[in-house]
Amino acid sequence: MRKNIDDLKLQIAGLDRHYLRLALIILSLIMFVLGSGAPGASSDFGG
Amino acid sequence: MVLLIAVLAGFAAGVFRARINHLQLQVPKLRALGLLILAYLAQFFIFQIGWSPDLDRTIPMILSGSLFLLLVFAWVNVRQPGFWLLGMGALFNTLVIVLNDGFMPVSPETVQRLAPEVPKDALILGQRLGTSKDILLHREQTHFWWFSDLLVLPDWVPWQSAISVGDVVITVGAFWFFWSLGSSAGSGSPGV
Repeated sequence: MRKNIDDLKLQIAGLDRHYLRLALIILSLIMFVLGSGAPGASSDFGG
Repeated sequence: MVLLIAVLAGFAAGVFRARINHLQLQVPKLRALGLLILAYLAQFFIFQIGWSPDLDRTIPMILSGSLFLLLVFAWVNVRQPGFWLLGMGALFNTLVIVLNDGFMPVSPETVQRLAPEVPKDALILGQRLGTSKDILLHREQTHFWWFSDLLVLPDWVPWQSAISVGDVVITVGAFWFFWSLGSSAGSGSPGV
């Protein structure tokens, strides 16, 4: 029983880490795309 | 906004592909994230907050430096799927920006297609457009004009803006990157 709970805790920690790293990857790609992409001259001239 | 939507669409496609393959989305390890954060923050301060003692003079310098950092970031991660496209798109944009005094050129004709209500005489050549990275230049005055903001999105797209060939290549690269995370081959390095 105790071992099962510990296994579950480890699984949850692993899952949390997975989603955290996934969020970091998404954030990184957004930063790269917004930084290197240069769309401009929008119809309201705001860029 | 258009590029942001492309990233999110790519992510959704990657999740969809992973579900079909009964896999968890792969999470590759990207290197040199510090460079990316530095490059992004530099642009965030000058374009979003407007922090700079002399914007029009310092923007070209800061923007070019930031783009260089992004190129290095793409280079060190080139083994990740789609990153060679991300790097190539960034290189196209960097080239045309650096060769045109640190701003992305856009022609008066393109601006008028986007905003037909703006009178022609309001468009002053050599002037920066609003708070964007764009500067108004005739095609003949533009170095590497084929990499400038010359493409206009179709009318049905709600967020109208001019984009460059580099932007298109970056969009494809970002989509490819996320799409590849949904396969078992996934990324160049092991996931979690």
